[in-house]
Amino acid sequence: MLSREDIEHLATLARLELTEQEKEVFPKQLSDVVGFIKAVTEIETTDVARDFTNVNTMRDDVARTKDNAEERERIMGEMPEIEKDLLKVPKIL
Amino acid sequence: MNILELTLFDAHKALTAGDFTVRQLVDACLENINTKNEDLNVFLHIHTDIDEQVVRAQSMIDAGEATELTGIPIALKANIMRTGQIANASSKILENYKATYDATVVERLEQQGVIFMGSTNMDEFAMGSSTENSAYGPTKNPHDTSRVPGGSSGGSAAAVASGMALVALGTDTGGSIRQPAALCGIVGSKTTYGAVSRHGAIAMGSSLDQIGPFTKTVQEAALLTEIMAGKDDFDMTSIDTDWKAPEQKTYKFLLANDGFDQVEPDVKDRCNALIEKIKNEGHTVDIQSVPSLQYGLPVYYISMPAEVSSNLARYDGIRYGERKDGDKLLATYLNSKSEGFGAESKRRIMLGTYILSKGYEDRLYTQAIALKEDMKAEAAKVFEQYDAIITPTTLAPAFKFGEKTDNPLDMYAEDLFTVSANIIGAPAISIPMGTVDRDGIAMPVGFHIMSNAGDDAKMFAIAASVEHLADNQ
Repeated sequence: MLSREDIEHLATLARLELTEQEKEVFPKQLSDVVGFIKAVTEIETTDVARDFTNVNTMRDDVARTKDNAEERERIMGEMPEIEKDLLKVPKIL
Repeated sequence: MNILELTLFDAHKALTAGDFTVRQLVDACLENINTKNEDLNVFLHIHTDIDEQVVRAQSMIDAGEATELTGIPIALKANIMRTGQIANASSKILENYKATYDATVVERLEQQGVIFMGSTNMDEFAMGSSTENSAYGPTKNPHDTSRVPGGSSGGSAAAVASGMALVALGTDTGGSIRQPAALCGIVGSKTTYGAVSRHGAIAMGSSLDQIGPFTKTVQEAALLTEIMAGKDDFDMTSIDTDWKAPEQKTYKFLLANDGFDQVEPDVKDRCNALIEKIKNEGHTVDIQSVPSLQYGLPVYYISMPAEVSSNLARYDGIRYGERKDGDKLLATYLNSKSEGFGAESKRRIMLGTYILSKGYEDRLYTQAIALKEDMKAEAAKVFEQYDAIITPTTLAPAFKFGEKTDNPLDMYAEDLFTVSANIIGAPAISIPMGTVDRDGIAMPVGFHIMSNAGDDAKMFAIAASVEHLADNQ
């Protein structure tokens, strides 16, 4: 069972802030789901399944846009804040 | 003209014969949007360049360069990007986000001269089975407006079921095309994992997501899929698929009866009636349990939230989307995410964070990946003997608004029969299976057909060979 404190900790890790109402209902809701998924932890799996690995597929990093300037403008247009020709971000320190 | 009685093939014939123009076809859809959208809440945005698209498509037809898709009005789920048009995935955090490039599927369909009508409502970031998780209000089921259209691609399903577009695109991570197709009484399908490029679809669970069509008939879905499919350098998981269906007149079906006891009795009756008709056509139907299919839902609720928590970490208000400033950087993150994400997104991000945290990762995530491999192996054995695994698409027809919103596990059970296809990467389709009575209204239900990974052409051929049987019920 996840407690209210567990939920608040998870929210901090995930950089989320919860409303009071979410803090009320999430412990039970998430505990239900965790209980549901934990049912599969005891199932025996085969060695073949355990040895499974993914393979990387690579390609050359080549720009292929039709019109670089136009695409650049579109991307800049979506930025929350720009100064001159650059994305402006909040102060880190 | 009645859009609801028109397939894209009918429309193509009429357009090339000059029976009506692209403008008239598009106007008929716009008329349905004007009269029904306020009530049904299907489209979030109408694309701003419809007039230009119409002119281009008509000139292709006039020049004798039309393909079967030229001039066909199509709706896009709001998580599929089309340059310059808002693609907000029904989230506040992307409220006014305009796509900066075309999804590969959009590019491929644009070459055919389709008409992109607009972006449809969905559960936020494709997380849900009812569209109730949209930040812009739910979409209503065109058959009964007190009920959900299914989800997450509920807007796209309702667009086709209400004649606002001839066809539509959605995305399917655990059933998000097939379940709303079933609940709205139309056809919806997903391909083998990788057969259609995911480039330009806003990511949810990248190892599960696939783009696919909503249509009235199987042939339309097959055509759209074939045009969209094929290797794409922008999606390294994409593959080429063989689109030649084997010469086969009868098929061997396996009704996987795991979970069948939970199906509502009249839905079961519809399913059994269709199976009888299938047998009468000379096909074989065996009934048997496929035990590992039962792992599908729990495995999904391990791997999917883990991927969601990674994929949604990019929405922090820094580079694009809605930024809510705070006094420090951390406060900006917190404000942007907390105001930007709805409850279900928060739940799944936190669930993924829990699953991937120290001490649990091996027990949960690694276990889920191993079970997925064992599920694939068991399915492969079934498909040595059978052409398709069949079930109803859902346990019941569309439910009422609010019925499942307080209990996430109830909502998650909507994907019971559809989710395994995503886990094992197999192609699957929902076709109409007739209707059942709910409060005096005939509510549609769906029949689910899943074939072996790579057998997309065969799956469409199987579905096409049985869809007319269901229509006669």
